[in-house]
Amino acid sequence: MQTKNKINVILNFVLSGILLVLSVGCAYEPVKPWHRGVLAADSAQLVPDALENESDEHIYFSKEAAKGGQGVGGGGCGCN
Amino acid sequence: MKNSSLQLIDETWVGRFEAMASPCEVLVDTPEKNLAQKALDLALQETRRIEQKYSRYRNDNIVYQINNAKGKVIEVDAETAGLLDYSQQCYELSEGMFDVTSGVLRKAWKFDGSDNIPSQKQVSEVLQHVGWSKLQWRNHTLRLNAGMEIDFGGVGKEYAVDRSALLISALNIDSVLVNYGGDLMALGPRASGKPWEIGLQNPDNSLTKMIGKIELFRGGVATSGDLHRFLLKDGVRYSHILNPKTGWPVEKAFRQVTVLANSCMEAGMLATFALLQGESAEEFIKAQDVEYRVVR
Amino acid sequence: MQLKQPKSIRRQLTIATSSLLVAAPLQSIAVENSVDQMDDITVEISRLYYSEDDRVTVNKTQALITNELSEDNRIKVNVTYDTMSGSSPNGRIYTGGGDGSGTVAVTTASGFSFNAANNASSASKNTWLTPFSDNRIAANMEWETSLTNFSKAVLGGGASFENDYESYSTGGKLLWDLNQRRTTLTAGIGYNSDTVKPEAGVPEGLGELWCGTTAIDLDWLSSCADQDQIFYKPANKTVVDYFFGITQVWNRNTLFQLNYSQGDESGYLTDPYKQVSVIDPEFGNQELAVLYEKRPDSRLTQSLYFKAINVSSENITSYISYRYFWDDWDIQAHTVDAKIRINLGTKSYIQPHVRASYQSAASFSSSYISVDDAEFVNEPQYISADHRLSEQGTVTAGIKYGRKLGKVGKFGARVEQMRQKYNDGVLPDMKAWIVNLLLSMRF
Repeated sequence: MQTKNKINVILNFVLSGILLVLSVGCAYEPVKPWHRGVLAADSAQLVPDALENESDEHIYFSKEAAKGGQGVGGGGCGCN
Repeated sequence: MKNSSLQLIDETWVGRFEAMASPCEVLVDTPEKNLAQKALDLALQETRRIEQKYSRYRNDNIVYQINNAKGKVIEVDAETAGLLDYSQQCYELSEGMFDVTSGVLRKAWKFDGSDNIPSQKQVSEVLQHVGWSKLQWRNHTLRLNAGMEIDFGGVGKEYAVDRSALLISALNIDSVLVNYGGDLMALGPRASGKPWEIGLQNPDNSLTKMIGKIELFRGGVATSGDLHRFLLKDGVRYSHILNPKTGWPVEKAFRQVTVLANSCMEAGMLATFALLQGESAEEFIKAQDVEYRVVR
Repeated sequence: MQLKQPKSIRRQLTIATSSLLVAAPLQSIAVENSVDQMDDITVEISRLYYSEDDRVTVNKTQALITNELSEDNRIKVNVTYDTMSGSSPNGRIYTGGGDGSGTVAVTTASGFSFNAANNASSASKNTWLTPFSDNRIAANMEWETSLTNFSKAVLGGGASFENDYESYSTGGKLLWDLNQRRTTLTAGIGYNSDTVKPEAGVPEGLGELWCGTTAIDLDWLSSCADQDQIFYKPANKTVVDYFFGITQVWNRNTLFQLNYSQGDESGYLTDPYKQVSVIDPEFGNQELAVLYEKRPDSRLTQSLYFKAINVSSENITSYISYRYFWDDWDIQAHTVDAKIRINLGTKSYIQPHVRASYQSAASFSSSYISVDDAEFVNEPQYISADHRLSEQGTVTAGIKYGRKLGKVGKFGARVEQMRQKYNDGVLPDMKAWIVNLLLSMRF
């Protein structure tokens, strides 16, 4: 299936891009706990907005085969 | 499993059932549910009866007997005689282009959108068994040569539509539309006096939109066309409308012809005749003085 | 030199603040920036409007109340109320036509001598869609507590009720901070027990919903005629999931997360409302019969989820995630999600968002049963024409606007458009709008 191959190629590109940027753009730096200033902000949390995240999870759970990834549970509705 | 259903949709009673491999509907504009139910029951019974009697897929009906007589003479009932007479008239009116014995050509042609066109040899072999003039039909007796077949597929559905409409008319309701898989007959306009709005299928992609609308006050509507049954080889599109004299598709056939006439059978036959004319389809149908739509 | 003096004061200051920061664990869902407010209650409300063109509409209202009982204890209560209505593809072959332009019938070509084959539409609903309307109410509760200075536990449970579906769930997770809180390990387990209870009962998989009168060229289906349908009582579905995750502070601006999850589903996994059409190509897309779908009674799902958060400047934070999902139904799915939050001053921000996903089809996924297909010479063991198990791609794009309301409030509004395309060449594309309003208040 051509579409599938194309998408795989694109995804590979995207992933390589991310890894490249991260490796070049931000080197590993041993972080002292007190440096975590910016990362302590609400906006830098893994799930900055729980309800927004839950809404999206519900939508995609109802329309796709894949589910979860961020934690356990979820689902619990007759939508898939 | 339900055999039929009756629902009130936007103030019209819609009766539904499946028959002749099609979704069948009877639309009745009446406030009385009982009347709509009666109309539906009549239509359902009659259609099943016709289907049972004339389907080529059964082994317990007159069609099976005719097609498996192996050269023997078969005596037929009055209804079948009527259909055979009608077939003969159409054969003559169309100068041999409409032929109910051409069903066997399906053995050479499989219209699945691929590029598998048969060889001349294959076509010629099957063609031997095609030709109304090769059979003997008179005085309620029919004799086919071995290998020949009668196929009422080209008239069966339209016949069922007209017969159903006829039986329903005895109930004295006029605002009735019978729709068997796209072949229609209206006894009269809707209760409001407005016509039934009929959509025209897009011959290109049956899965999406329509390409137009016609207003039906009274009478029959039928469409002939090639929808998704064709073959494509070397850029040439082979329509499934076969010329019974040559066994090959009618050249330069129109994609679709829709006709409004006094009855569904008439509309169906005219649409079919038109398609058989190849590139002069529109000329032909214009000369018939009926309302029509064509798609080239 | 003067530079030296400021440096040394700063050093002392940072040492002093470090102990303060270290007290708060690394991973939290809603971090309070000021630690001196105990017994905080935060109320968050969300209104979601989801609407597909001509299909499904969902209105979801959620309220989340978080109560910081103490520095080490937090309780969350979440209540959801959804209303869903519209029509949803039921797996039957797409028949198109019958659009809302006021026509009551469509005239279409019937075969010359090959006996029919057409897609007449009917007065209203298309047979490939099933109308439905349902309400759902769900609630769950979560208790988070510190176990040691470097670990905490979360325990939760919930229930969800719809007219035809009930679900009870419970779960928990443990988090450990290591490496001076640069690394957090998470392990979690969840258990769901669901009851599927359609009004008419659960149908027999591969049972006949409807049969036409045309003979069907399939031995295993030739007796499909006046058979009674068989319906069963409610059915059960159980899901156990596990996940393991690592969150790592990479440098002062970047955070990574990597999770592995596994789910074990068993019981009734079929959708009782989904069907499959039996067709004969000789008759085009005409249905000869319609059967109920049937899925296996077990499913093992796995996924790898990677997320990166990067604060590249005072005003820009990027979030990017990738999930690879696979299961023993042969489905593989890739999902990429990217957001950039751009602050506009100190009070508000905009956040464009893009998400793209692709999945391959389940091994038993098929758009229809064709009498000509060698695959269906024998009765299939499992089959589903549900597009959600077939090859499809989804792209969503949108933007969010957020704003602080005073010192204790937050407001957000986002608008997105989602498009889904199917690779069976038959089902039309789906387009949906998503509008989400969010409000948060701290008391």
